[in-house]
Amino acid sequence: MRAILKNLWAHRKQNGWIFAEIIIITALSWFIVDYVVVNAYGIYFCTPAGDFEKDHLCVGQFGILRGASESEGKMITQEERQGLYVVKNKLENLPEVQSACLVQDYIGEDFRTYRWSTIAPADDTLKTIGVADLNYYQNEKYFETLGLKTVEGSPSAEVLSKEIQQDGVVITRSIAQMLFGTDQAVGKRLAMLRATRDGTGVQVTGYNTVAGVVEDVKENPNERYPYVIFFPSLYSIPSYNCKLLLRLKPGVDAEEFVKKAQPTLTDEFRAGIFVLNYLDTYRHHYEQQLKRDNNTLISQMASIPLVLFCINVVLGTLGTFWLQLRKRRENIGIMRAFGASRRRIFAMLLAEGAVLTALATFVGCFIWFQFAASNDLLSDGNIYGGSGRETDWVTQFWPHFLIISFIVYMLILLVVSIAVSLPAWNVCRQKVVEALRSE
Amino acid sequence: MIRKFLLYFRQAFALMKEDKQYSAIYIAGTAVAIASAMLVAIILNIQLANIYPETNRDRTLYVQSFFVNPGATFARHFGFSPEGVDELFRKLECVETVSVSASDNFIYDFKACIELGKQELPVCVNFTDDAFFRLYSFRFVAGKPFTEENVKHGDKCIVITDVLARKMWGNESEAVGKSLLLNYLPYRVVGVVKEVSPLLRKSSADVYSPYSVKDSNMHYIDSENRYQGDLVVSVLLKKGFTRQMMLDELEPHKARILSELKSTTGIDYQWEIIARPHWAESMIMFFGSASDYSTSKMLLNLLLPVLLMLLFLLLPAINLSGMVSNRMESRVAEMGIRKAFGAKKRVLLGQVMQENLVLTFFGGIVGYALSCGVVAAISSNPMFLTFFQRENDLVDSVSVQFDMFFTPIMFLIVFVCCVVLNLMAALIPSWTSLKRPIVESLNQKK
Repeated sequence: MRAILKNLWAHRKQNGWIFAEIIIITALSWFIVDYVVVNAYGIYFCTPAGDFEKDHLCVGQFGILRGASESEGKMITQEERQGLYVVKNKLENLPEVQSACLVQDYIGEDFRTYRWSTIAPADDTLKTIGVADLNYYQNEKYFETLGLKTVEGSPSAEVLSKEIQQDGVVITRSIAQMLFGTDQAVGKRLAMLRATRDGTGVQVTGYNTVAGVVEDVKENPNERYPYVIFFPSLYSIPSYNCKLLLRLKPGVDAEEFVKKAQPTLTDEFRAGIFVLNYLDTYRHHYEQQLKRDNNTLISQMASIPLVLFCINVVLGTLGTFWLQLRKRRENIGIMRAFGASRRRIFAMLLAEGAVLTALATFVGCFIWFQFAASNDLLSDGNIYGGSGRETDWVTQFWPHFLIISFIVYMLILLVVSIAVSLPAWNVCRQKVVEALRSE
Repeated sequence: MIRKFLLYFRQAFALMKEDKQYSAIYIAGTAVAIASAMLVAIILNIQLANIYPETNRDRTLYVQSFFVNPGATFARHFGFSPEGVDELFRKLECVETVSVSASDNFIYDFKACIELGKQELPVCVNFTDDAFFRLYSFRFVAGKPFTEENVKHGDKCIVITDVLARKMWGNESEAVGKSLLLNYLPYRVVGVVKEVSPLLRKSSADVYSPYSVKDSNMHYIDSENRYQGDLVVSVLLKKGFTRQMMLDELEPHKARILSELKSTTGIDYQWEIIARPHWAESMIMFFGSASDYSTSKMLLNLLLPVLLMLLFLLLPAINLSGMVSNRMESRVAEMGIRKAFGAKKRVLLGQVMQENLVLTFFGGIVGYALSCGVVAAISSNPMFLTFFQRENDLVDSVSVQFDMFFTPIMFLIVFVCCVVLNLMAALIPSWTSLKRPIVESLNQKK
C-alpha cells in the first residue's frame, strides 16, 4: 500500500488531472446514478407477490366505422354502442378464449395517463396514502379476466366484478395493511381526500367502503409500492373508446392467437359502427408502453451524460497512465529483474488506479453529500404516491446515500480499471532486458 | 506568417507520426468532447434554425388566446374560432400569411388504409387550412394543396407525404385523385409533398386535411363566445415587422371585439393573446416570464444548453490537460534548449498551442461526424424525440434532413468548440512547463 501511495504521490502532477476529473464526475454522476438505480430497483426488484398471470392475456381497442353510419360528426348513440358487446361476445365464443371484458382502464394500459388519489381511513384522515386509481365497468368479468386474485376473507373476483354496493371500492392488500393494519379490510370506510386550495392541508371529498381486497399489483412499473384502488365506473354502458381484455385458455399461445386473428380483425370482428382494430398480447403492449414511459425516457436521457462521463474517464485514465507508464518502464524492469511477477506488477498498477479512484470518489461523494443534505434530495425518489411511512432503503437517508455512493464507486472503479489495464498489460508484457535498456 | 504557420503545421504532423499512440488517444478524447458538445448544438439547430419546410422560423409567431370570464375560474379553450381569426388577423398590415391548425395537439389516433381489410398504418394528421402551404415552403411531388374553397366547404381532400403515398400505392404520382380511408372514412388525395422530418413538430405530419371536415373530435366553437375556439394561429410576419408591432396592431381589434361581446353577452371578458416566436415555442423556458420573448430572454434561455456544451468540453479538457502535461514533461529538455538559444516563452507557448490545435481539429472533424451519426442513429428513439416534444406521438420512423447537420453556423460552432477546448486543455500545462528555469529544463536531458 505504501508503494502504491508513493507512486501516486511521485506522479502527482499528472495524476492530479485525473483525480480532479473523477471528483467532478463523481459529484455530477451521483444524481444520475441515483435516479437510474432507484428507477431500476422499482421496476426489477419491487415485484408484487400477487402479480397476475400475463402470458395468456391479450388487449384490444376499437375503431369506429363512421363512414358506414349516420353518426359522422355526431355523438355515438347507446344503440350503436351495443356493437361493442357483439364484438366482445364473438371473441368470447372463440375456442381459445377463456373470458373477455370491456374495460375503462387496466393495469399497464398507458403509463403516460397516470392518475392517483389520496385516501385515508375515514376515522383517521391524517393517515393518508397516495394510490393509483383505476375505473372498471361492472358486470364485465374484470377481475377474473385480468387475473387478479382476492385475499382470504374478501369476496371472490367473480363477485367483485359484478355489481358491488354503490360506494364500494376494491383495494390492494398493501393499502389495507398500511391503512388498517390488516388484510381483513372489507366493510371498512375510506375517506377520499384532496389538497386544499391554499395547499396547506387536505379536505375530504367523499367516503367509500372497501368491498374487496385483491393481491398486490402495481399500476406503474417504476413504483415501489403496490397501492392501487379500483373504482366501479359511473357509467353502466361502456364508452365508445373503451378497450378490451381477453384471457386465453391455459395452453394457448397468445402470440400465435394474435398472429392468427390480426389479419381478420376488420372483417370478422365488426358490428355496427364498431370494429376491433387493434389486438396485441399483453406482454408486447406492456413492453411498448414501458419504452415510452416518462421514467424510462428520463433514465435513458440521464444515461447519455453518464456514458459520456465514463468515456471521458476511460480516455483520460488511459492517456495519463499510458504516458506515465512509458516513463516508469525502467522502474518496472528493475522490479521484474528482482523477481516481481508480471501478475504482481499488473495488480499493483490496477491497485494504483483503485486507490486513486477511491480517494477521488470519496471527495466527490462528500461534495454531493453537502449538496444533498442541504437540499433534502434523498428523502424519497417516488413521486407517484406512498404514505411517507414506508421504510425501504430509498426512503432512509444513510442507506440511500451509502448504497448509491458504493454503486458510483464501483462504476468508476470499473471504468478506471478498464482504462488502466491496457497500458498496464502492455508494460508488463515487455521483456526485462528491453525495459532495462534505457536505464 | 503563413510560412511560420505551415512550419508549425508540419511540425505538428511530424510529432503526430512520432507518437502515434499519444496522437490517437488525444484525437479520440477531442472527438468525444466535440461530439458531446455538437450533440447539444445539433439539437438546438434542429429546434431553432430555418430548415425545410420551416424556412421562415425567424418570422413565425404562434398565437394562443385566453378568454377569462371573471365569474369562471379558468379558460376552457386556448384558441380562436374561424370568425375570431378572420376578425383579428386577416386584416393586419404586418402579417404576410395567417394559418390555423385545429389544435396544437393535432395528432389523433388515426389509421390509414386503402380499403377495409387491407393493411392499416397509424398516421399523424394535421388539420389545417390552405394558408399552411404558404406559411411553410413545402415541395409538392405531385398534385397541389387543397384550396380555400375546400376548407370553406369542409371537403374531405387531403395532402399526404411521398413516403405514405409510396407505402400505400407504391408511387407518389399514382396517389393523386385516389381515395384513402382515414379511420375508415374516405378522403381524396389532392397533393403529395416531400416528407418532413417528425423532428420539425410544427410542419410535419403524414396527412394534411382541412380543419373544417366534420368530426366530433375536432374544431370546437364556444357556444357563448363566438370568437373562442380550438384553432391555434400561426402568423408569418412581413419582413421588418416585429412581434410587438403585431400585438400593438391587434389592440384596437381586440378592444372592439371585447366591447361587442360585452354588449351581446353581458360578460366583461378579459382576453389575453399570447404570441410566441418560434424559439420560445420550441425551447423549454428556463428563465424569464412566460410573456417576455425579447432577444435577451432568448439568449438567456440559450445559456443552459451553452453551459452544458461547456461542461462537455471542460471534462475532456481536464483529461487532455493531463496528457499535455505528461507530453510537456518529456519535451522539457527540448524547450530548455530553445529557450537557451533565445526563444521567447510566448513564442514557444504559441507553437505548443498551434500543434495541439492541429490535433484538436482532427478530433473536431471526427467528433462532428460522430455527433451527426449518433443523431441519425437515435433519431427514432422515444427518448431523443422528447427534445422535440414528439415522444407521445404516433411517430413510426424518423427521417433526418441534410440541413439539420451541415450549415455554416454548425461549422462555425465546431471551430469555436475546437478553439475553446484547445485553450482549456493546453494553456495551463504548457505555461506551467514553460515557466521552468532554463537550467532546470536542460538538466532533464540525458
